[in-house]
Amino acid sequence: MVKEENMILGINNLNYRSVFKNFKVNLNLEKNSINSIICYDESASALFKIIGNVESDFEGELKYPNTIKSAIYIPEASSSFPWLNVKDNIKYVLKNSASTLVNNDVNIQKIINEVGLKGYENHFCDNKSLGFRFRISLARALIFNSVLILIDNSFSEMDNETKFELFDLIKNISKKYAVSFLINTTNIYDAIYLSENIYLMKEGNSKFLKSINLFEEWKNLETEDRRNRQQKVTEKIINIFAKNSLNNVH
Amino acid sequence: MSSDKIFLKNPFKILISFLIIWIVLFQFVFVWSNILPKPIILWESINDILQENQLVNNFLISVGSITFGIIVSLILTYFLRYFLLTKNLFVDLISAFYKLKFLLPTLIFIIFLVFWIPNSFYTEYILLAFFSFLYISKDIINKRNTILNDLENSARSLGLTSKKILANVKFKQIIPSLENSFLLLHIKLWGVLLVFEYVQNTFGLGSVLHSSMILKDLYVLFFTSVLISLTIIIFHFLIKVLFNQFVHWE
Repeated sequence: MVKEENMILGINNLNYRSVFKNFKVNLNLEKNSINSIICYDESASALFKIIGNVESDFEGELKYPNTIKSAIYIPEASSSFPWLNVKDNIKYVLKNSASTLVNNDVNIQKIINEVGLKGYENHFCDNKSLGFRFRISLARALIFNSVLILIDNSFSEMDNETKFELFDLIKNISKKYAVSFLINTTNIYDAIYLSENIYLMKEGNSKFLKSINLFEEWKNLETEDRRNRQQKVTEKIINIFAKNSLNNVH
Repeated sequence: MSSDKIFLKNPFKILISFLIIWIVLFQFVFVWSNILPKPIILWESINDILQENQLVNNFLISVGSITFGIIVSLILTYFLRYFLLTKNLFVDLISAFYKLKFLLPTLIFIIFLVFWIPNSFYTEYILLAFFSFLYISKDIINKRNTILNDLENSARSLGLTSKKILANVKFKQIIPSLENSFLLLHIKLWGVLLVFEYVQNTFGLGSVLHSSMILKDLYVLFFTSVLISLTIIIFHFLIKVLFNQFVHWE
């Protein structure tokens, strides 16, 4: 994977309800990278909504890198419109969004193929089919040429088979497209499996509890086998949360 | 009243059971009773009942009023959906009106309406349209704050304007939950209609009931009541079919 340039998303003195008080961090979102925030309260979700232009009643400064035109937010419950089929879901947001994107059928079909929905263009999704609906949400984010896609705890309700299929899809997409992913999760194993950078977060703190670069961690633990390395990083994360009075970590 | 009430679950079976019990009891057991009419005599006099009471015309007027009321309220609700989903004077007015507990003021209003416009054919059409619009609007207003925000958040992140989100996303999210409202509404509409026609005593099935009470005609009273029950059941069935057909996403 080629790292073309760094993308630093700066957040300065963010104040938002009781969730953030003078929150100040720099999120390093390298191009084509997958990054996770592990968080056991609502703060990461709130941060995602602020970055994804969902919430606007906050105080503070968000400094987007030049490369970011838009950050697309995918919420916890899948967000495709159940009254539209796959293709119309994508067309609808293109047609109605304030963005000036061209409604291009060829591009839409390409992205539908990319997210694994080829042959399902005219299907209406079942509300319970979380994986299918997530793929539509992902397709809608990709059609916007978004450089940053924010996934807010979308995998928590999925079965393992669906979840790992989607993890592989996300990994492939992050390599093929100039897009970074920032994922909010409560599952440490998911974060380690997917990410290059892991940020640990807790409500009320003015910065992240810790940021962990997994490449560096693997280098430090290169004498260990893969299973042990993962176990040690997991323990490290649990210890950090334990030190910060969070004992319900899993 | 909720949808799990027995009548809403299995109305047709209940009516058929009632008719079978009636035939058995009043044809073979209580032969000399005047509580309900005898089935054979009623069967033989159906033609007279239909002609003497102009039952077909009156039936069409009543069914027309109910259908008109529901369709007009649907059209009004659709065009005013944005206003119903935002905070404004119009919504406050509807909420305040509904807090009067609706049914009793409506009945009193009906008496005055008949006094002011005693013989108008169109009054009941307007009354039912107004009643059903208020009922559906109130339900939409109540439900706007109870639905999940995920679709709204996602749409906002994809750049849809607030107006489009409310009118095209939130409104569509609410529609499936309106099925029960429509099922209850049409029963309430029948109540309001029959009271209005009974008091007005000019057109409709309510006026037929009025005449039968004045003339103490048990056969007309019974036949009209069964006809009304059957029509309510058919409406109930039609509403369910329409929702299954067109509101397929839940």
